Amino acid sequence: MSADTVKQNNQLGRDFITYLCYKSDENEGLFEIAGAKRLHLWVGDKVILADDNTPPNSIIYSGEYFTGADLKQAIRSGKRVSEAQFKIEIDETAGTFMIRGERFDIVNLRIHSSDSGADDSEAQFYTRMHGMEQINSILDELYYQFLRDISGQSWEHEGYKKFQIWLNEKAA
Amino acid sequence: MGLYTGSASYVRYKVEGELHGSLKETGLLRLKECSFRELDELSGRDRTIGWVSVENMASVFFDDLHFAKDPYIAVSLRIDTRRIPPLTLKAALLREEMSYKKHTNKERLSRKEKDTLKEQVKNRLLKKALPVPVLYDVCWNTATGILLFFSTNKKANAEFMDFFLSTFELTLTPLFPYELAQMVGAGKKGKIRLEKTVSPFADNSWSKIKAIM
Repeated sequence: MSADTVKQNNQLGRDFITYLCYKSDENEGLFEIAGAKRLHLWVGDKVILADDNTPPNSIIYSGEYFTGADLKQAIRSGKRVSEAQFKIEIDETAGTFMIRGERFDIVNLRIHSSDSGADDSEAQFYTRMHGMEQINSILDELYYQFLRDISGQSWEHEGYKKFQIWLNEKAA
Repeated sequence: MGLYTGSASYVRYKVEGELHGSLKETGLLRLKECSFRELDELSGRDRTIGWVSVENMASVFFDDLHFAKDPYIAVSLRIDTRRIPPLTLKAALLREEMSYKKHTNKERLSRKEKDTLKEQVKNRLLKKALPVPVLYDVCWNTATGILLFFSTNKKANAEFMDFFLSTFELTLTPLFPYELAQMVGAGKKGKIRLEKTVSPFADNSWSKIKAIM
């Protein structure tokens, strides 16, 4: 893979994760995906932001002691979220995972569902695969929403302005 | 790791094309051809790679088709490597050189003699070194053509892509942001054309993406 392709993947991936953080904060974690399904997605305990320099200047927030204001300040300074942990809840399933912007690696995915206590290995396999595929398809759906949002004309006239207002608003 | 237990870390791929013939028969044939072989069976080698059972890393028995969990194929890729710690090699080589000089009454060794001794010492130590195995789970959904490789290590992913190609004669496309954009666009019966950008966030703008949806 060429350095140019790596850089472009990195940019697009970081834009998406930054968008997820923004939308999650703006909508108090609530997202709606195809089929009128609702889910909750919150930023978890670790976020890494980086700028476009080579090597990038990065900042890591972890633990309980960072706030939305810290993230906004880093974004205002030209950084975007390169890696973040999210907490997700949909129907009877809850989970946590890290996603990396450069390659969309999924790291440390943990899923807790009502039927995750299966005791034979075959059932355990299908339960886990179903959980992973559910998370993957939710992320695909959110990624599609992001692409549709930022490529539509309303993003320039409306969406981007809302993003700027969110970015510059002070914490209540 | 993580297909069965613990937290899961993975990279997603799209499998390009399909296996010829019956999935179970062809899959079984290819897995058997490229199954893991112990280093002891391969004299003179310090590394070996091959498929093992996802449920038992010591088993290369696939005939019961346990790898085919409809619609998935679940296997593990095992790589064993014998390694000599650099200082161990250095110490053994110095000892061998001293002994060689004593026996041949030489004060200095030629480059060729040094290389020969190094090769002999290395081969002798490699036979004593225990192979260190690493294991990566793989799960391929043959209905959707999406495959999960349970490691985010870049070198391991590159090696896996090569080995998957040589086993199944099918290429893998990693679903990185640009490739995934094309896939989700196609899934929504649209196309996403992506334009090159330069530092789009410098002025807090977003990636320039042209979409036809």
